[in-house]
Amino acid sequence: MAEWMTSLYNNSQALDAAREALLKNNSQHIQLRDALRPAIWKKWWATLRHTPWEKKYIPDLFSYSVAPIPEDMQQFFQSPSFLERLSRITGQAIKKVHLQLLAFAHQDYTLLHDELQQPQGILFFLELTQHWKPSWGGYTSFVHNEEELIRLYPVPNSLTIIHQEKNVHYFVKYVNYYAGNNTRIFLLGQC
Amino acid sequence: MTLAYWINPVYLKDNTLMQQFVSNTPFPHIVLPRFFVDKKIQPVSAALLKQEWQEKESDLFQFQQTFDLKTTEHAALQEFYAFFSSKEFIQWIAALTKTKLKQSIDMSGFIYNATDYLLPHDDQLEERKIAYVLNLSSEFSKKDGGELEFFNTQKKHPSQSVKRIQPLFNTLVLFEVSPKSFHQVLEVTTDKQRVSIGGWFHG
Repeated sequence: MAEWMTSLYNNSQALDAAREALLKNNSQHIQLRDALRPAIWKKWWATLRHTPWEKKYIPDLFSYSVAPIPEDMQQFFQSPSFLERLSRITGQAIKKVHLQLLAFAHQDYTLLHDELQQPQGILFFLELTQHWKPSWGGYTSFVHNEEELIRLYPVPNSLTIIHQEKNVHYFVKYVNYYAGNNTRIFLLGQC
Repeated sequence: MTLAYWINPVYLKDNTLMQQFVSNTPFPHIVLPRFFVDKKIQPVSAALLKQEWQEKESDLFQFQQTFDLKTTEHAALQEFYAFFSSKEFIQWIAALTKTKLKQSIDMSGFIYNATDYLLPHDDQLEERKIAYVLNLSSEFSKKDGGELEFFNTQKKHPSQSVKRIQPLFNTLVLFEVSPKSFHQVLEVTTDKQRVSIGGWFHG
């Protein structure tokens, strides 16, 4: 499984450097760029094109689409080698992750709502979006007491790891019409 | 009489307004086109654009807003605020909406530019009884977005949008604030500005 990630993240020194960066960062997140090897990235993209997406819409809570997670993606993110890397970076023993494959197109969003409790812990976003501009919206915003702590714009093939603390919640900003037919797709992992 | 000085006389003679308000679906509301006398509303519209505007953004919305217009320094807006918050007008609104109202309102100006929006919510907050929006932008057509949309409700959540109101100049929309009053403003998809004055009558 190790060969799925870019060589940088197969190196224990690099993982320790990532861990250090995560600890230093007050907002408790780190973004690893060019996370997957290009061949893997392309392969997953080809798979996603044929994925049956299902719309989820409760107007005062969210609007987005979900899809079943391809078998090989599931295997990779539950593999000991990935979980070990994640544990090394976060300093927490991670045994299992809950995965969701999500797509946000024009008019999609999520809202912060008392009903949607977000557990604290480690989260990661593997950005499977091909191309994105900040002016389209669709970014992930982490807030605490109505104050924005982190704003994560979709960066293709990035893996963002976040330590979500108590009373920190996130939402995906409304995707506006400038996005046209572009869709933000990411794999969300909760540990 | 002050009401006649401000309001289109058609509405002062119409004794079916209350019946319309309570029976409209998916929750009590009424849409009143050409509501104010033209020569009164034109200066209000012009003065509003001279106000100071603040960018507002959250998970739920993105638009520009003024401070509460209670503190406006523009004469036309001061006059408008004085009428809108007057005992006479509030009594007229209370009768139309069959709602007990206090002598207290909120009022601010809103501008929605391209990509601005307000997502579905019910407006509920203590004191807010009747919500109002007075549209002040002209030349908005269907393809421009910016419509006010009402939802019906299922299991305490909005389910489907069942009514769309185009933002036409000098149209006043009133609706009852309740656990059912889910509404949104559709994203503006034009470079024209959607301008309005909105707020709540308190009870």
